[in-house]
Amino acid sequence: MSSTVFDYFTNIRNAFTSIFHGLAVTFSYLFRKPTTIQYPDRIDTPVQQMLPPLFRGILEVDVGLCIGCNLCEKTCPLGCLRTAVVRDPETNQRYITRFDVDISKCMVCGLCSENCPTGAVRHSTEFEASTANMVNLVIRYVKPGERIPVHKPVKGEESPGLPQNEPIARAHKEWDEPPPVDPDQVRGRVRWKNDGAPEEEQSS
Amino acid sequence: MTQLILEDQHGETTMVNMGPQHPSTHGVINLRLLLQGEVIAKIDPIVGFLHRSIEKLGEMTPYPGFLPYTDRVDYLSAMFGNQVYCMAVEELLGVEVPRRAEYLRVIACELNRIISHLIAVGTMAMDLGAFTPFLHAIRERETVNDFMERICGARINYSYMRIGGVPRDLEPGLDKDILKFLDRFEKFIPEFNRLITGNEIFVRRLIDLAVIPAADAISCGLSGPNLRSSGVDYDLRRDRPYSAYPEFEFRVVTGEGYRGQTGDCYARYWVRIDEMLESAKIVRQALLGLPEGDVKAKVPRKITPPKGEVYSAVESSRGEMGCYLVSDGGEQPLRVRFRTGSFTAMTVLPKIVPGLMVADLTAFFGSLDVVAPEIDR
Amino acid sequence: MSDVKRMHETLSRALPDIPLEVESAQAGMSWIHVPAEHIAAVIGHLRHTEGFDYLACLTGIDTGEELQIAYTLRSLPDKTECALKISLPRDEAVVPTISHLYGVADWFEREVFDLYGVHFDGHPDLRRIMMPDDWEGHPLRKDYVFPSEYHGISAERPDPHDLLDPEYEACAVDPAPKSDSKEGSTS
Ligand code: SF4
Ligand code: SF4
Repeated sequence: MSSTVFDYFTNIRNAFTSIFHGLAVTFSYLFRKPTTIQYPDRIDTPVQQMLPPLFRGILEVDVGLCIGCNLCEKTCPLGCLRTAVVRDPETNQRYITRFDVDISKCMVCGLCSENCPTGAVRHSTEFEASTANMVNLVIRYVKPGERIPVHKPVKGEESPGLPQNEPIARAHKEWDEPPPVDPDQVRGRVRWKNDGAPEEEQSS
Repeated sequence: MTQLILEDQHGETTMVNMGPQHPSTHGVINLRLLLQGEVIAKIDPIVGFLHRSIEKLGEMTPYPGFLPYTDRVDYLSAMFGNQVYCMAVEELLGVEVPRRAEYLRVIACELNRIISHLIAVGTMAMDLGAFTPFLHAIRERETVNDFMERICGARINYSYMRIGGVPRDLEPGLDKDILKFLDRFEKFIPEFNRLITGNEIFVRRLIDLAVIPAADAISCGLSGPNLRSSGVDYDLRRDRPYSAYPEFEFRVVTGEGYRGQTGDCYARYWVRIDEMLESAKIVRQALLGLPEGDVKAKVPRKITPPKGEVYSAVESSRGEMGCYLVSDGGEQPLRVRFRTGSFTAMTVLPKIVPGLMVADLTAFFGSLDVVAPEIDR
Repeated sequence: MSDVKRMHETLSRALPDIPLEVESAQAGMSWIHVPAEHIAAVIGHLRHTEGFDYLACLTGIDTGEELQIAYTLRSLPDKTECALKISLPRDEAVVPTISHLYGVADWFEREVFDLYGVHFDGHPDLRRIMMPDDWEGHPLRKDYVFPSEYHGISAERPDPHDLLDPEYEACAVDPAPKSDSKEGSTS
């Protein structure tokens, strides 16, 4: 390509100078703050708390808020959720007897949580769930044999779950100072053990 | 594993399987090459290893439930899959999307284009042996990914759009953060250019290599950056206007030989670099002129579009992504078809590759920026 | 869409022997219905005389009664689009190829052949593209039966929910009748 001797040497010069341009850029990064963090151990805050509040992680269900409408189950394109509701014939009270989420299939799309009228099913910021057995990935929010009365929403009052109209405001509050999570306080909230199996799974 | 099969006893022609697990094919593609010495005499691309029958799934899923699958058509630019599908259903339904939602869609799509092009140029440099630029590109991409996470809650499979709009408004304060990032990003591109784009060795490696003439590009259905780098001035955003794009000012980048000639590998690379800056410009305009209002039109929960068919197309980062949707009036589509840029880009290989060397094929293939799942769907 | 109507008039004047019709449904776009055996001639005319130089999309459709192939042509300089459609019988679907007109039609037609079993007459290299060569059936046909295994690899796995069913049944001790039960409504 280089037709003359002059071109030949120009090319060599260009090659050298452009390499040093690049090296100068790389060198300047020696003096900048590193952008990486050392996951998972050497970080101050767990990644789960550093995630933005709208992060769509593994589903969590607050069964205490569920009205048993079955909408989430119908919306899910994959059939990840399975719920069962029974009615006591005497008191006409309905009970949730089963609320399973199969997170091995779930593609965390957010369709179910959007359609839930009370915000009972929503996304946590949890994402590490590797396990050796696939059945462990079915999270059971109602233990077999347990009956949880359905939630009766009060007219005109915001559901204490994720408000559907402005999720951001509430989420922001949490983002600023993450509340201490006490799994005993919130029924059905999953806490993950080291082996990845949810605690509910163990106790059942 | 590159597997070698000697076809000829005299060792004159060699058949080489490049792939399915080859680092430069960016996914599971098998390129069957017939070599004479080091020169490729014939190429036969074998695809389909990642066929997930998304189109068949579409026929079995109700309209709203199919949306998450559209992310998986092209996992590097999931937003476009969302948009093209939503546009098709909205056109059938006759739903008017609120203007604010259109703006939010444009913002998300253009950020997605930046993400995707960063990967494209980064991996292309990596294919040629330069590892550092890839890390620089990935660093910027992570920043945009963080914004994506704040916009829609996911980093890769966004599932952001809904039929009739978007599910939620921007988080307060996010627009300022994005604007701040764009300022930085516009300084990052010159730095990236100093790092690799202007590098004489890199340039010499790519110029005049694997030139796709405009006529071939059109006949082979190339689209997007690949088509424009061949000098064809066609951009769906401008020439088949959709969403809010007519309201923004941007330049359609064509590969008018910054170095080398129109249609070579360097032109394809350069078009992507330039397009990122244009995308940044569009995002800035959209954020500054974001109209007030709703973000989602009223659509029934059960969506049953009337009988009919529609072809919607968006300018995705890999070219034209089209959705051919046929409705029979039921709850599920009769047919969903995704026309993707990578699929058509593969058809150009048998035309251009014969005559190239094996090492050049790596550079050429990198410059086409195909994504294997998008070919196979 | 006036584009299609205009194109229909032009085509009818240029090719008077071929019966062409503009069709449309309740919503969406309209298209020109072309008899299957004339499709190559019509598209050839559009390509060479009317300047439709870009094949945007080629797809098969199975309506249940018949197979259809939809062509979406585009003219890049004029920025116009034209949709054509042909109908084919479900068995013995044969169409003339258009792969000599557009390079991209080669792969598009291979895809339609693979997924619908439409045979393209004159195609240089009609092989399967998505599915393996020894695959049986054409998956996008409506009467396709899903195989349960492929070369001894099972294509099914049990639903974990079903595995847990017995546990719930064992504890369903309460005498409440299951009238309101919604169990098992997922598939
Ligand atoms: S997030 Fe999506 S896939 Fe997962 S359970 Fe909800 S609707 Fe189903
Ligand atoms: S979680 Fe929500 S959508 Fe699902 S049944 Fe309970 S209230 Fe209904």
